[in-house]
Amino acid sequence: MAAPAGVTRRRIALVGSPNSGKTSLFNALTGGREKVGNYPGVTVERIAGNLSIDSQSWELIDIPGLYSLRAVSADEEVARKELAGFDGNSVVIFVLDAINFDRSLFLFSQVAELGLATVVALTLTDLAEKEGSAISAEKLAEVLGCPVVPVIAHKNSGIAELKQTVPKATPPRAELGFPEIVRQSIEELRTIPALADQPEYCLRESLLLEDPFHLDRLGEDAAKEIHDVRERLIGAGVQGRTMDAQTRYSWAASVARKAVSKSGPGRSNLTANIDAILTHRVFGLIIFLGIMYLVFQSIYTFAGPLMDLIETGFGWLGEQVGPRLENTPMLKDLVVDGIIGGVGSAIVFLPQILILFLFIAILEGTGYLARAAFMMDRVLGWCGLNGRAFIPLLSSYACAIPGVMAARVMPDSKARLATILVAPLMSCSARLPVYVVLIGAIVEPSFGAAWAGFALFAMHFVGLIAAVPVAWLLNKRILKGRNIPFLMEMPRYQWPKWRDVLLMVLNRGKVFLQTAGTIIFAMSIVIWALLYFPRFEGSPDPSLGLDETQVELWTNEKQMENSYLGQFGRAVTPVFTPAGFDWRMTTAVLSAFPAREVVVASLGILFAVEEDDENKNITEAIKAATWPDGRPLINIWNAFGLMVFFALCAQCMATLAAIKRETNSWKWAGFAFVYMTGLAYTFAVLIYQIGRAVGGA
Amino acid sequence: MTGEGLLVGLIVGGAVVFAVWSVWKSFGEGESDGSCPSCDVGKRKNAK
Repeated sequence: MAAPAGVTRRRIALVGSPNSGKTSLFNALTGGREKVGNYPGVTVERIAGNLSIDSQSWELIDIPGLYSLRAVSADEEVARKELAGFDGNSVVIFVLDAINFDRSLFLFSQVAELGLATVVALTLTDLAEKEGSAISAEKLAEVLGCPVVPVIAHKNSGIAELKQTVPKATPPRAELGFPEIVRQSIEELRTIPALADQPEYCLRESLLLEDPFHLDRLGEDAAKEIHDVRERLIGAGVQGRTMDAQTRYSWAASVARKAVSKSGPGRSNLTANIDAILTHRVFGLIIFLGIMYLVFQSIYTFAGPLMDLIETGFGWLGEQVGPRLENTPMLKDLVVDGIIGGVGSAIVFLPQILILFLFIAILEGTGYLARAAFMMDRVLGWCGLNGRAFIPLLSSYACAIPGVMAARVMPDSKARLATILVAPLMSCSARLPVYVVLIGAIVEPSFGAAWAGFALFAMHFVGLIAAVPVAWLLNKRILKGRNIPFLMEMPRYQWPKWRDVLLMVLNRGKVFLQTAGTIIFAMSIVIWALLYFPRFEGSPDPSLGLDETQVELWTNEKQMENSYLGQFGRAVTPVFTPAGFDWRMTTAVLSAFPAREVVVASLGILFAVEEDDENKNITEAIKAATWPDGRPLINIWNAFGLMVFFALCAQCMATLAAIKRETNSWKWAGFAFVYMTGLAYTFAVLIYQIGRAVGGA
Repeated sequence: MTGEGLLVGLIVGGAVVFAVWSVWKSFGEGESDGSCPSCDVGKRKNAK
């Protein structure tokens, strides 16, 4: 709803600690569908929605969760800058977490000092009551000096009252009680003309914490004066940070004493008991690997029938459309083989995306993902990837783009950049068809179905294994900056909220269809054209005695060889010969650089197979393909090399674009492309050459 | 050129333009004033 011309639309900032139910409240207030999770840092960017109260339009802004106004991570920086832009016409809805009451009040004590009209939304009171803590909203409102409304967002309880209270919001009156020596120092600073009108909290933060956010704003001369006064404070034995924290927590404790009544035995030991097993040094890791194995196996098992259904659907569509375009063979080829075949080859992976995100949403909703991150910190910490890297890396298993974006929750810029650069190494589902085709052609016939399944599982760890030394090298040799210890709140265990799970899954599906679908659609047409033109007009020697099907296969093969893409592939083949790739494998690899999803269609066309039974026939055709001297084209070594090449190579323009966007630098996008492609090529060559050396290739 | 050729040419040309535009757009969205990229996300939304 737009504000009428000339009327300033008022704004509301939704502020609170991570995992305090802030985004649930945002959705309840706006009817929105933003992602909610039982994990700190779900909101990593500013999200805005509309809210109407008594016919007045407000803009509600969900600000990333933060523990303190002194930002250390990119998402916290968003929150701080956003709040700095609010004026007297704005309102803060402060989400006060009843479970982590004192810690929430610590943040409140900082927000209160901004002097903005505030209303407190008291969340998670139902859980607090189960743990024996009853909070009196009336007493709390009295102590904080602003309205307090208890809400349970997912049950829509208290939402209407909260809306009605927003226009009545008032600036809080929180008397924090800093020691006299601090007050005197601030008065001293006020004698300096440039600082005379500055808010007290701004001067205090500059004085006690040397907060660059305020110091930069106050200017160099003022900063020097503040520094001199601070030195005198230190000389008098005042430790600024400690004093600031102690004062705020003492105030929070005094508020709790007035507003909270304890009636039960306190927080249950259930979470601690479960954590004793799930985060155990040995059992925790075994359980984690078991869960991950179960997740991947389930993806393949459950996705199969749905993938078959989609393939059948696109096959049926091609059969319906094809005969209607018989009189225009070029157009028919474009629509059936290029558009329907190409788009279908991408959309066929939608079930895997949905199932993967279903598992992620459930694991996140229960609170397990935070424990998994904790476990991974032990495993990955030594190479510079701390536990917070786990979520971005896990997200990258479905698609690297949300994985790259998820790295925003990492406060350590060095670890964040390392995570962004290695996230595309994780085996996204677009790599799956290559694994399936080559394992089906080589591993399964030689070693059986059990080993084929294991090979499929193992291929998903190739990227993770490569990421460890890459991250170590990046941290030791390339990235500058200091490492920040990994600190993360362990959320409580709970049953996932199924609405949130469903929303996350649907949202991911929509994003996949929108982003991958559009570029794949266009690239399918482009690749079709590069393979279709120029037309080959020859025919096979009649003395060969080929039947009609063989003539068609022969013509298709010649067409591919002479197409623009085929010619280019042949020209570049010498580069890939050390890896054991022929011109068809080379062309398939090259065609997949814009987006690796297209490779199945490329392989299918290049190995001249029928379209109606694509996967099976690709596998059969690759098994049957030969070098010009009659040797089998594919063996275990170049097949493994090709799979590893796809596992490590940067074949996704959209991911490179995301890296550029997140790092704000072409340099890092280019670096990711060069190092990943170099790594992929090196390993493909090494594997094939080692195979040759041991006599297997 | 036949009508079919023209139509295919338009579709392929459109796809090329779209593919180039998509890549350009996704890279172009990363342009900023040099501050942290997360804040830039906020600024873009503010501008809207």
